[in-house]
Amino acid sequence: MTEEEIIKGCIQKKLGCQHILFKKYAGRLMTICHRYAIDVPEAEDMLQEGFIRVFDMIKQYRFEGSFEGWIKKIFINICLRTIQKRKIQYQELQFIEMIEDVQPHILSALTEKELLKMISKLPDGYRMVFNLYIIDGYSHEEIAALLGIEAVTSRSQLAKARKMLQKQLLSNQKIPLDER
Amino acid sequence: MSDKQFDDLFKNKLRNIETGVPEDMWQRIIGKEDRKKADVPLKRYLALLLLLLLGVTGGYFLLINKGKKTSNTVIQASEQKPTINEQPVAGNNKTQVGQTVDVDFNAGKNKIRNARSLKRSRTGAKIFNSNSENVTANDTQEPGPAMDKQVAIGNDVDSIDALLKKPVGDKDIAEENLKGNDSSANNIEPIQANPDRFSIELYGAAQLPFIDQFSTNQQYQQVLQKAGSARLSFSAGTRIKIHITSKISAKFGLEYLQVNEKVAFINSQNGQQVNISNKYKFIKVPILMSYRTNWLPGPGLSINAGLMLNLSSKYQGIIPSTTSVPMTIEKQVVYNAAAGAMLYVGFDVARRFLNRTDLFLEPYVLYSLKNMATRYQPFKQKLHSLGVSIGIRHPLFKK
Repeated sequence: MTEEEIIKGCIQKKLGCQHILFKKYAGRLMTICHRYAIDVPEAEDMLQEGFIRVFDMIKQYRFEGSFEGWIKKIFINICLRTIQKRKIQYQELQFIEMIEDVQPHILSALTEKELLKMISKLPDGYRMVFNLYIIDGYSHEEIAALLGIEAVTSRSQLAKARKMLQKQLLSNQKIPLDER
Repeated sequence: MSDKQFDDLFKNKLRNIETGVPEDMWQRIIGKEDRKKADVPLKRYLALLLLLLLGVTGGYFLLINKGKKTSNTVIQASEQKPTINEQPVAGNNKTQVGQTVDVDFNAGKNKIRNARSLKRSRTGAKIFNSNSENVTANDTQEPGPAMDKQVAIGNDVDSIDALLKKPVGDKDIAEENLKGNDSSANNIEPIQANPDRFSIELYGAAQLPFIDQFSTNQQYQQVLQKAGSARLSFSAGTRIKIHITSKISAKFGLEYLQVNEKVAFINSQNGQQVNISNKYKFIKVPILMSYRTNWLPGPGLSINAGLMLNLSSKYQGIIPSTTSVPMTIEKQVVYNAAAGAMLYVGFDVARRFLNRTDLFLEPYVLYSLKNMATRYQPFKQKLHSLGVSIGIRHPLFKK
């Protein structure tokens, strides 16, 4: 079955096609949810909501551009909306000062799971900006529009997120995040 | 390491990886889709409820207006001039004693409550017969006041006067009738909206639920039945009672119902005992019809029957899966969000305990009409209950 046929089946609300679509993308989309969520249950809720939204909105897909890109955008929006239901504070960190340089091999040695765990420990604001900019490829202007913040705030959140991750790498210890 | 290097490392490692998805995720997605579909009947229920409410309220006001109109007709009827069909004696236009006078009491309606009398005065003719010294009429026992007034203010006053003045024996029955009817005419009261027609009921109930579970997998059915035991449950709510007639009324309201169940089974994964108290919470809309019997005096005894529509449901707890592994019922995978309608039959015994407030006791039976388990579960479940509610009923409007 081609992707177009699967999508058309989903538009016709065919359960079989929906299941094929789910099986095809669930793993990759689950990673997106893990990157944005603070824990596993939240990631699972995001995935569930995301697929329900995709099945609802799939009739709006115009078969232009990558379908995976379209579906990912929907999921990112769902993730952001879930996080924004909480009161987000774009927090200031105290240790923005100079920290020791992180060697590339330290980062390379980490597994994907460990990296995801590190990201999940970032405060909501840092985590959203870090994911949007570094991994999903949004510009600061786009992030500012998505989150309703200034582009400058986005930049500073990203810088602080980097520093926080570097510090985690160096200390290899959990950073207490009382504010969360 | 530069920021770019740092970013690229994260980007390359995380961009296109796949992570594990929970096994039941697909079921959860479909379950939630089902729940969305179940919202449609909910909207239908609400629309039905609204229609019923409008219908009953509209019907009620129609009845009231009709009552008022009929009441006005009485007054108009008594002011109307009657048509008197005389049988003229040759050369004399006036009615003579000994003759039969046909009086068309077309407008001889007196009271709404006396429909029989009303019907007779419409069609009947009153016959005065002086020879027999009797007055024969279709309804001599309860003559309408309008009828006699018509006689008194009739077109042919002279002939009526003559009739009345003429002694008809020991007793002038016609005059007697007139007097009697005058007093009866004074009894005419315009019908007004009864302020007690709308009352509010507040109640709480204790109930014993019966959890009816069925599975084609008999072994699983036994596991379920052995694991769960119903516990004393409760409900509380409010209802508006609208009297449609003196005996029939409609009730609408909102009720919170919580069914408790104790669940105990051995977890097959670790051999440990699972003990938990499950809670099935429902918000329901009772739509009931009530019939007041004459079996008891005062507010007395009423029979209530109708439907309890489910607005929303929430579940807390655990049940055993087919493999005796704990399965949470909190996410809408096990039970439907809309647990369906329940049939309600009960009777209330009421007693006046304050000036206008009744205290009532209402034993009832609740019978679930729909399977509350989702279609993904290998079992079906219904919740029935026997309960008793106690509450107060008070008129909504001041007199």
